[in-house]
Amino acid sequence: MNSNFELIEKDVNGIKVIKITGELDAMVAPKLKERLAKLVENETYNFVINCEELSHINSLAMGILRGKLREVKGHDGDIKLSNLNEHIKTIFEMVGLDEIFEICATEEEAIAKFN
Amino acid sequence: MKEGEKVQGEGIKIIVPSALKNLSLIRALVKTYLIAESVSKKDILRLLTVIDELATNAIEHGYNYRNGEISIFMIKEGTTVRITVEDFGAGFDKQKKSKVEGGMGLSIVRGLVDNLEIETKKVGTKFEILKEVKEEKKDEL
Repeated sequence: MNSNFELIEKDVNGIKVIKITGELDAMVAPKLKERLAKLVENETYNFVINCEELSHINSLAMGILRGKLREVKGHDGDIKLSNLNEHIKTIFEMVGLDEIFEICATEEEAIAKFN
Repeated sequence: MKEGEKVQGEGIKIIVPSALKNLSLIRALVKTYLIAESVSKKDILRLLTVIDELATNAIEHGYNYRNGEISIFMIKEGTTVRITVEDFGAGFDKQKKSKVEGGMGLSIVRGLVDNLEIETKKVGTKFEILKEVKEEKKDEL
């Protein structure tokens, strides 16, 4: 049994765009944490997280994103989220993360917000 | 999965070894049951999030990632789904703080269900949730 979790990365105008696919539960959340930590360590501070193909998210992963947002903001960076499905958006709103993350309808809109 | 059996001819009880790698298995089993009970897709997504948070809680706080068993019972009674998630570990400590990234799990659960009860047992913790659900139209399944 696996959760089909995958991180697909690309660089657009100096912004790291990460598409998360599958189910992001407590089993795989450390992989996201490790990857973001490595990128921040290499001085990447601007991120767009595309959640179009993210079907499930655990609170631990949300906490990891919250922690990394604080960290990159300390370097004048940002993490913007895009393409959240209705269910995941509801969960973000439930714990107030919609107030600290900029949530965009599309990846392109999120990238444009950096300019 | 060690056990999977009908209970009282209605609900389903599953007992799964406590391990993070089994979270996806737990979600798949619960999803299968809820689809069979014609629960709407929206409510299935919400209940899968609830189950995932409670099972993760059992693994992290109940057993502190050590070996153990998680017992899940689910039943649909009319338009209400009742699910219990039970561990036989250290017990629920309201004062205990989660790791830095944690702390939102039970808030999410409370927000997605109609009722949450937490029973601290002599050995372990039992979470019981109730949620009113809508039925999926047959031709959409």
